[in-house]
Amino acid sequence: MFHVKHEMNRDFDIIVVGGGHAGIEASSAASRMGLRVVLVTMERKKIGLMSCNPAIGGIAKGQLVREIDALGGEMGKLTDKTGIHFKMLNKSRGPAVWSPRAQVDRKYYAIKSQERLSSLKNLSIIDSMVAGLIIQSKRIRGIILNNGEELTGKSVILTTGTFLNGMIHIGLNNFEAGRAGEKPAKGITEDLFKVGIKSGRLKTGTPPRLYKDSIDFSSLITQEPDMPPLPFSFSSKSIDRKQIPCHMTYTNKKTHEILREGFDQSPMFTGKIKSRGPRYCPSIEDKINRFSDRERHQLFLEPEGYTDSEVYLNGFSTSLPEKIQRKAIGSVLGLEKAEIVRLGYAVEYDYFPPYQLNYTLESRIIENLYFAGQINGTSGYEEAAAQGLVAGINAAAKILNLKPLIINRSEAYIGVLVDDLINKSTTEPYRMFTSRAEFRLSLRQDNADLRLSKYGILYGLLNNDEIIQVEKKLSEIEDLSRFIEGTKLSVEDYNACFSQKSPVLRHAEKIEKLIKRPEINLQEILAYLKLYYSENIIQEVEFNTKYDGYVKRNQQLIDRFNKYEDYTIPFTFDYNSLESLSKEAKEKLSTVRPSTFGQASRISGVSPADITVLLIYLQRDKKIGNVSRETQI
Amino acid sequence: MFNSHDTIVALASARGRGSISIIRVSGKDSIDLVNQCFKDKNLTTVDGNTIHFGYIIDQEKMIDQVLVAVYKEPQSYTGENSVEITCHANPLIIDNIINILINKGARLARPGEFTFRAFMNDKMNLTQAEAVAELVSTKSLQGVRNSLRQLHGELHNRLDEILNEINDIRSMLEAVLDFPEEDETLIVKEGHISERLENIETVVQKLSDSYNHAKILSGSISVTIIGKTNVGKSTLMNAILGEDRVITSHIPGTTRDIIHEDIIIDDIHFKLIDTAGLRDSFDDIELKGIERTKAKIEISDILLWVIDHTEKWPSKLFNQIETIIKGETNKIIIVLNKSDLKTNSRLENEIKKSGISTVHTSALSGKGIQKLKSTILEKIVNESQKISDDLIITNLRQKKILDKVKLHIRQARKIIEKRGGYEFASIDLREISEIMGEISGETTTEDILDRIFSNFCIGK
Repeated sequence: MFHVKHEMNRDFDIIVVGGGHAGIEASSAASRMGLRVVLVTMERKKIGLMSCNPAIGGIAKGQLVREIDALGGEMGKLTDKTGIHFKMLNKSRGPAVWSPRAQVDRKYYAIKSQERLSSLKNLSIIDSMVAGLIIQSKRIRGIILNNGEELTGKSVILTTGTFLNGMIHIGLNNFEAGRAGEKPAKGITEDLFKVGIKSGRLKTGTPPRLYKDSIDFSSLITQEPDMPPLPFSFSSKSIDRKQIPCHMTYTNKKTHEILREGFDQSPMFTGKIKSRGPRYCPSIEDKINRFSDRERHQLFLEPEGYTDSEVYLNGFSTSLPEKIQRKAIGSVLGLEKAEIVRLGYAVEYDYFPPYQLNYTLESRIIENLYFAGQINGTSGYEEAAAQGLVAGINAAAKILNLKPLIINRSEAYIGVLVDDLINKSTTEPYRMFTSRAEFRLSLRQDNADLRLSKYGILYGLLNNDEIIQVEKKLSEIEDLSRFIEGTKLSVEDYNACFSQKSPVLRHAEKIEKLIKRPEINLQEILAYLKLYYSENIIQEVEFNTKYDGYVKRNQQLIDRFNKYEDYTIPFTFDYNSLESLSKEAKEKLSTVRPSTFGQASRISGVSPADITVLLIYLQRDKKIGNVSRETQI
Repeated sequence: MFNSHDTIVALASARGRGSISIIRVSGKDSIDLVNQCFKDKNLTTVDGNTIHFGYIIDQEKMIDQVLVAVYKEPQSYTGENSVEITCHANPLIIDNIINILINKGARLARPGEFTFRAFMNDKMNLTQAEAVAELVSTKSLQGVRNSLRQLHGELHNRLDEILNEINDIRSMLEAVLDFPEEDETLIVKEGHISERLENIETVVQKLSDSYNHAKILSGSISVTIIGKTNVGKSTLMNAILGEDRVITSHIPGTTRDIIHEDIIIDDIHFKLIDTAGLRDSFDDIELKGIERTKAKIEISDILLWVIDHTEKWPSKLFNQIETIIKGETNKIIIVLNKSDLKTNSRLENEIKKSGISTVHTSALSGKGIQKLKSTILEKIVNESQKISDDLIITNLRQKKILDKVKLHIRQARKIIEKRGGYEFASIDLREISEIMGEISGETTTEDILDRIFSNFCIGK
């Protein structure tokens, strides 16, 4: 519990509310930038606790973690310290869509998070619930704890996850909770509502956890981790911890029948829950309801740790009543005797539609108040962490009088995330996908450091070792690129290296040309020539050479994109004066007030036709001098 | 550059003397401007969509007796306040009225500016705007019908369908990439994507090809008369035209330059071209106009090859023509002229062997001319019947965009067939969405708009 000592400081630069993945990154980044930070959370032992599956990364999310790492964030390093099953997803496809993922030891991850935050200078942690916000003349001044104490700060970052007015549903029963076994937070939404910040409700769900010892693993499909495991963090050399397998099974017709029996008690189907859930992460009842022709659905059994007695049943998110959950699980192969530790449930919570934010994640309505994570309508640890980092850096940058950090869509998934949030303002929980990133060919997990470390250095987020490492990587890439450009492989060497495959070489050929052939890889040539380069470096050079045509086209698209990003629109532009704009476009543009033409084109509700109109008017205004001269002739 | 805060004026009907002409004025102040030089009524107080009788005056001086139609925004062609002045069709009067309005503050409209404003004010989309241009310039009834369909938004819908399909396919690829834990075969069946891409490529190809047929409707089908000197090409041309247009004489080589005339057969508009005479082959480069004739042959849709009934089969010339028209010998109609003279069975056998359609005529007596006309029509109609009920595109800009789209579809398909990676194919498909937006004017750049609208005639 929270005890105020008399000597305790109650004034900070930055107050972070919430100790989830967003809160960890926000408080860590700001404290590393030298500011006095306090993290206020209900219980410090719950910092870094994973509410849902015990895994970090995944498609597009893995890229986000690598980017967070390139900016000096914590998530990648924590994963490397606690991962028990690493896997590179999409490995059968091109490097542009590879995504790292790791199962982690859930309890250990939380402990390591707490250790890390405790080790940071300038960072205090206070165990308390927050009862309200102190807002004066459209500025945040601090927060009120539930014992009535006040903390003051130059900025406040809200990262409260699903806790605001959280309501858990299991069958037709429901009760107030932030997550299983924890109280919800009340008061913050109400204070924000008073100053004109709009809120909404979203829903998410989680599957039941099973007792490990009650599962018959012998009848399940085993999924082995990658060996050797590839670390998440650019600063981790290798993962030496023991790696353990995951398992897989399927639902069957019987399972589906049982689940259907519970449909009349589903809070979703009966309309008890009205808020939107994530379509890409449907509950098991939703899957069988919408895809009734599928005879089975895959289920993944994810260990929660080496010794943890719980197993996470991925793919079986549900809010059906307890009886149905137990019966349905018992019908699944390998789970006949499985016992449930914790039931699956759905949770409804408050979020604040993110069009009310700037690119820095600062509120447009209340100065110095930042929002990050699930309260912005996202789902996922990685999305939350990325926002926490952006909010933490920007809150600190503002206090330090530095330029805000705004990463654009062509630079990083983080840029795509923030841009989508404030312009598209989702009405369902937002999850990152590679298809959201139009320039994904260049936003690869292996080059996140090359793309972003310049910002990490600029804002003082990287330590010396990390800076030296990225500089070394850059120079080695340059070396290797020059080498393959200037070196020919003789016919003899070629045959010695590739005697078994590929068309015959008739004359010596540059290595650069050779690796454009799909069947030839650079690694083999370098190994033959006894040249050592790390895999990351080879990958970067090989990708740029092999897919040269696409890399160039991608670059052209980026250039075209940036042209419109550089095309600024005055903040005071009067959209209502453009008669030709649709009513919805006028409203949306006037609310968001895009700073560039590019941004305007991405605002939902603004149609391509509206954009054409806007472009023509803006260009006309710029060229008006030319027009009058023409007319005189 | 367009500036729609000001008032524009231009003659909307054809220039030249006639009974009446229409001057169109559009812009916020258009009613007020016209009112300043209108006598007998205060136009600023009348309702929209009304017509008024009165006089255009220039400082008390009477210029013309006119009818003015007053339209109020947004219920007008341009979506702005506008006035149409119906005056007497004398260029002096017209220029006078336009000058008066310019002196009052209007400015002369640039080509296509009225339609541009209609587009800007959401009165029509880009394909519809283009249809307006086609509607005015098309030279056949079928063309008019097609433009009307386009104006009605059918082309827009068809393009939407194509884009939908592309987006559908792309969504499958993205699903496979973004959900690797799902069983891929549940999302896409082997070969399914490349099959769908192939189908949509055919659709795009067909639409793109329809541009060639659009020429039929717009009246730019060329029928070129060729043949040796003094076989009666010019006489034939006159017979088809039904009047003496081309100077004819018995001296070989009277037609030195290319002559062309417009004819209409069954609603379809043709350009009939007469060329300078040939000798036994094209080798005689000294012959005047020979290069020009070759050029005409190359681009012609139909060749009327006039052969004198008494001649021998000109096999060398035939081979050369065949080369020029790239083997498309079905373009040729052999006209056996002077068939009122005696027959030549050896020649006729040769022609039969070549499989080329033949018509016997006597240009002098007019015999066979009707048959020739219907043969010409058959050739064209056969071609266009394949698409007659279908929508066609009518301008080069649309065709070029469709060709780009086709290229990207093909590229995407090749990548998928070679298993080169969905992430690469996806780039092509994403680009298609952007490119397709250009046709309908939805994601167009101003540059393209300028080009489109400058192809209009003033005042439309």
